Amino acid sequence: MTQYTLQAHRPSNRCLWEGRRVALKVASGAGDLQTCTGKPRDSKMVEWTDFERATIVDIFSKMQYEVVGPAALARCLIVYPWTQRYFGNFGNLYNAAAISGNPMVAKHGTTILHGLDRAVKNMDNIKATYAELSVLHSEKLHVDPDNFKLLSDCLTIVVAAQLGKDFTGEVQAAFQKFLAVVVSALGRQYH
Amino acid sequence: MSLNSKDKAAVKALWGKIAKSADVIGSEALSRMLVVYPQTKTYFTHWPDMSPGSEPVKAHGKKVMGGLGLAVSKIDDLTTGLMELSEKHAFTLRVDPSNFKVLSHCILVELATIFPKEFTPEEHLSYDKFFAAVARALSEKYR
Repeated sequence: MTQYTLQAHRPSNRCLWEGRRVALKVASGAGDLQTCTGKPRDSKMVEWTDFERATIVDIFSKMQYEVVGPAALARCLIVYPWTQRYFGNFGNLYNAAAISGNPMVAKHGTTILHGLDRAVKNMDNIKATYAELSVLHSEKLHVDPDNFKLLSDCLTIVVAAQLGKDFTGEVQAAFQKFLAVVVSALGRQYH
Repeated sequence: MSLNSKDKAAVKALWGKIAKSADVIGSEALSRMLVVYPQTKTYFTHWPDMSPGSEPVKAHGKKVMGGLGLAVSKIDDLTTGLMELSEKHAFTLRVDPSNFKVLSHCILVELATIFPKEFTPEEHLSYDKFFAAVARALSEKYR
């Protein structure tokens, strides 16, 4: 007999705060992973709605990477000062003004945004796209993955400030889901 | 990570502006939370309407901002000042404390959309600390 896991409010089971998703599993006699429509499904693929896809592409296409990147990184270093531990060679980070005006922070902020761009251009394969970057952050940079979430939150705030009223709840949900997928992919190769 | 005098000053400074549109900010932040974090809807199933901008959401947003206004006035001793609210959340409402972080985040996002210039990194830092301190005080009576 085919067993179904009842997921009455499927979208609600998506914990956007951590980017996990409760999978809808149907155990058939053959043991294949199927959707309830019976079609085979790649259990690892993140599914994006048309709205989510369009929203992410739209936000990033209008974004000035060299403004938003530096602002987000500087905000992260100011609001969560312990993140400064990874930037010991960046010179003056003594106060908010110094951080905001620091050219190395600005350059690195822009680099980070260009890294995010890769995810935007490969939304259906973020995990593979970020495999190398994940190894880099783990093996070489030794960044605690919790920091990815902190930077994500700061980036959300910066984008919210830019978009104002246009940063609706639905847009925020799409943006945070995207960042959660990126954060998950970045943390994938840690062991 | 307790509030220093700089944090308290920063919180009070921006709160002056926030208080003028507190009802709207509260309603918008709550609406945002219900959309972005659907699991929070589980606390409001007794409302006839949970949609953004609905009457119950507006009324509740006003209540939440009222509580935050109280917290600003008691910023020097949040534990004592929010004792009653802590008891309410602990014994009656029984909101899982993880949700304080979720709502805080939504209020911060709302502040960023409404006050893009004033919500500088320094203000953000002080408000993040303030909301964390309020959450701690609200959790005081839980166990």
